[in-house]
Amino acid sequence: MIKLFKVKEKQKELAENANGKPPVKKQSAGELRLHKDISELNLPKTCTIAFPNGKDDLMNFEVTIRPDEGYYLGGTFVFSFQISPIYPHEAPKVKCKTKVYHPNIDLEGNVCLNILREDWKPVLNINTIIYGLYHLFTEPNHEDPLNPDAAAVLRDNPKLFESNVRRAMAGGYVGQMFFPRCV
Amino acid sequence: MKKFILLNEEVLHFHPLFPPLFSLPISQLFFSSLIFCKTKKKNEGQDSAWHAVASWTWDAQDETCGICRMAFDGCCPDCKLPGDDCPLIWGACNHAFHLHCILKWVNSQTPQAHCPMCRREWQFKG
Repeated sequence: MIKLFKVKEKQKELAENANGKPPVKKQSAGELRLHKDISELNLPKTCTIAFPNGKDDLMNFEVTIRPDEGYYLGGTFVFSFQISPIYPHEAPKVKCKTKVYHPNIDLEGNVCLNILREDWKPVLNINTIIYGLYHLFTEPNHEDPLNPDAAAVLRDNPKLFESNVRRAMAGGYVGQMFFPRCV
Repeated sequence: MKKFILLNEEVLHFHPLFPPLFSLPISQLFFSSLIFCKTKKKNEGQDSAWHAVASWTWDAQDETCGICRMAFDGCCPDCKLPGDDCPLIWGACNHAFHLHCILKWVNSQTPQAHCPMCRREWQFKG
């Protein structure tokens, strides 16, 4: 009986709030779609997702990739995702928060991945982007570079590239540039 | 959501099972049932005319719109009611989307929009 009254009071309260400003913000179409993407995520064991702002802010999150093969085996790389309210009509904004020696990621964390730019289409989802990012670590690509030095080394001297990556991931200098440890 | 349409005898006779409000080729709708029912007038006990009632759903190959991921039998996230207010539309490549979803995408792409599924040039199926 007491509970029933409490519910009624709460309803009244909500109704009063509704007269002023809307009490709950309506989910945007972008949020709705993102919600579906996240509930259908099917990530490889090497990738994890986290919501640093809690469940009220799904539009900003982080993805951590720990490659299990290739040049970057053993490293930990964190990416920030920023989803626009008009998602999926606009691609998520993805930045690499870990400083990395990589031909397709520059030292500011900008990522060169076709599906994040010219080849984005709204049937893609968060899962495909994460697989795309993972692919960058297993198959770095010297064509279309964001870090031209790293790309040139990868093209001309893969052995040197491998040792440069090892040195950068262990925390050290490649040329003049210092890379913090990420293994 | 299934949509029910009421067909009077005349419509049934001359335009079999054609949704009167939305003129789509019949191949794009899937009729799941056709029933006949008799209605009674409120105060009189007598039967009135027979009515044919058909229910239909969209006959797309997928269940959900690739853009918004909402059910084709539902509506796009900007609409409240499915059916005529939030129709499906097919491209020349035979991929279907909610009309509102694909329009948003096509209008944001200049000069030429491509199908979000197959990247072929987007053209509405004539």
